[in-house]
Amino acid sequence: MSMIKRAWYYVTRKKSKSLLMFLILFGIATATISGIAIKKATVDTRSKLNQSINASFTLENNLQNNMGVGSRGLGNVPASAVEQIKSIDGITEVNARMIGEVDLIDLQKVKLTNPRVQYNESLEAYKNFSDLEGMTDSSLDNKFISGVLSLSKGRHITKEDTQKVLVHEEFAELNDLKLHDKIYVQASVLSSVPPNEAVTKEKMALEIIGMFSGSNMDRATTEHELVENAIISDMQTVKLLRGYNDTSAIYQNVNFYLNDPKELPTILDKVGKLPIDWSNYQITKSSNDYPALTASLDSMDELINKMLIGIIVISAIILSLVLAFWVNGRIHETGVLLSLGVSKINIITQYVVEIVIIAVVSFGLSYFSGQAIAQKIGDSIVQQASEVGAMSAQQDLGGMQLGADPNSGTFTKTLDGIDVSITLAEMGYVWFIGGLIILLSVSISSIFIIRLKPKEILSKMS
Amino acid sequence: MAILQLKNVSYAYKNNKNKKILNSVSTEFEKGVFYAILGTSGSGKTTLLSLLAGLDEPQYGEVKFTGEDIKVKGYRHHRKNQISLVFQNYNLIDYMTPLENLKLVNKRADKQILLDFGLDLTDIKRNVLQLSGGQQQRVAIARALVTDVPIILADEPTGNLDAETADDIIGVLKQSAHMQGKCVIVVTHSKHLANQADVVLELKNQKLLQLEKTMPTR
Repeated sequence: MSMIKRAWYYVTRKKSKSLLMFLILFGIATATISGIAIKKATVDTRSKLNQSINASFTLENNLQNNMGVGSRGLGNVPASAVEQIKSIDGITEVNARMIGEVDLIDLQKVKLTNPRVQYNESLEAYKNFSDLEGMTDSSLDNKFISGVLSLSKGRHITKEDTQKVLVHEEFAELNDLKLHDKIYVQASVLSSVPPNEAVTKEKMALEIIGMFSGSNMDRATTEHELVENAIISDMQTVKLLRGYNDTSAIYQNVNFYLNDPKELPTILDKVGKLPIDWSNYQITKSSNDYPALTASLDSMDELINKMLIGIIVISAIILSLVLAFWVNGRIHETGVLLSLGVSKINIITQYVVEIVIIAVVSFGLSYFSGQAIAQKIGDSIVQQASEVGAMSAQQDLGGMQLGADPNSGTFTKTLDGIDVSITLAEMGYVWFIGGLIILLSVSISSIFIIRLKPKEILSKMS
Repeated sequence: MAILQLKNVSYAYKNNKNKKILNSVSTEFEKGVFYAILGTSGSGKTTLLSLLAGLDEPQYGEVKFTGEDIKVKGYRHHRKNQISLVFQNYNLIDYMTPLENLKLVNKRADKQILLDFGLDLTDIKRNVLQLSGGQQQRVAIARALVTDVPIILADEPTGNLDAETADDIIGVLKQSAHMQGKCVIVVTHSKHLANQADVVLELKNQKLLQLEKTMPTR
């Protein structure tokens, strides 16, 4: 009788033992496949984020020497500096930001649900005041890249647009606005920057081409800080509002993007050599804008590595112990087979085949159980990692408080989640790791059989 | 020529090398003869059988099959191709049917031999643990007979059986020797079984002594 037939008889006839082994292998396979899928999802997420946050840098005011313009200290990055940097090879995209200060006409702002500041007359004067955040390409903006905001309807702002806006879904709902409706604004009389003769004083009609969702990462103190009241517009409109042309424009800050994150050091080196007034302006790597996100990814990596190693070690220990009982409990059978002239290797291979038969079923079913629980485990690890990441980023800020506005949100932005999926590749890994654990465990538990002579085994039988 | 031969075989337990079990034992076993080896408990009967079966090896001396030391072709080869073992506690594989137990040693084994041994068609399909002790021992002997090996070694094959069943089993072993020409060696402390044997040997004071010998009745 072949060894495979013997193994099949054992598995199908010793039902309770096979069921116990099935449950153990099923548990091990589910844990392993979940761990592998989460690890892969983390690697994918890091790689995507690497591309978006490590392949860009920002030109902005050096606040130590340059407090910006107006009472709010708005950025004054000159267009000439932007043009010089844009011309460096390897830079593929640019997104400039410029803040326009407007009064909203016949529009209501979303109210704070639990205001920290009591209503007063000075706040009443600002009830229609709003920032109109102009940008050349809103899809490249940090708030969208980091996921603080996400486009829910319509499209992003591009450099060809003029008199277009994106508004928050709640703002639109409050004011009964839909895509392609127009909102009306006017340069604010309360503008914090000195008046400019070229500023358009006319009422401007801005078409809604997109809507976004998102909420403040921290509790907002004023309505102005509420993400729901943010209005994103195109660069031409804001230039018009502030009375700038292409050469006279000064920007809040400008993000530069490259294809390959590896080129960043070389490009930054070239940027640093440009004749730009580096005492008043500075370059920041965009990854510095996401300290909590980077820390949460690091924490996630650490957690998942520990989890995977833990799963493999604990699985090997449990399986070795169970298999030791499995093999020891069959000393009688081993002795009989040896007395019939069956070789030790044939007998041990039979035990391996039995485990493999059970593993085929349990590993196969772990595909479904893994699908069911991997995402939940992944979410739980993301939550833990995000807490650690946020705490770590907060410690790095040295107790400094950031504003609750959407742009500060990227600093405290952590990992939203990971997309865990189980494919044939993950199943392959489970087979490989599971197979190694089974081989190792059977070998360990069979050592004493290999050591003993048939007569010693038979004497143990009796 | 003797089919199986012990030549100056000595053996002591590993953990007590001073206590010898066999001391320079030499004897020969022939085909077609039913041997009984008597001895008191602890005299080394089972050890002697293990050496003859290639389950263990002597510290000194040789165990020869048709004149060749069994370790030349290997002990497993000896167990697989030259001997069959029958134990007191039957030693059947407990998750198989009687016929499947026979197929362990011979893929072509047929149920007829089990029917000839008194099992019915229902018994043949049952798990061996559901059979009586006598039925299990019959299956064990059938397993020893379905191979083409020339030697049957049995360790107290009737130890767990009632007198009537024991007589049946002894009859089967005798037939194997006399009708099929096998060399049947049984270790026992049963005088009753020994009386049925063609040759009776006694293991005493580390030596194997022949008590009486009669030629087999064919």
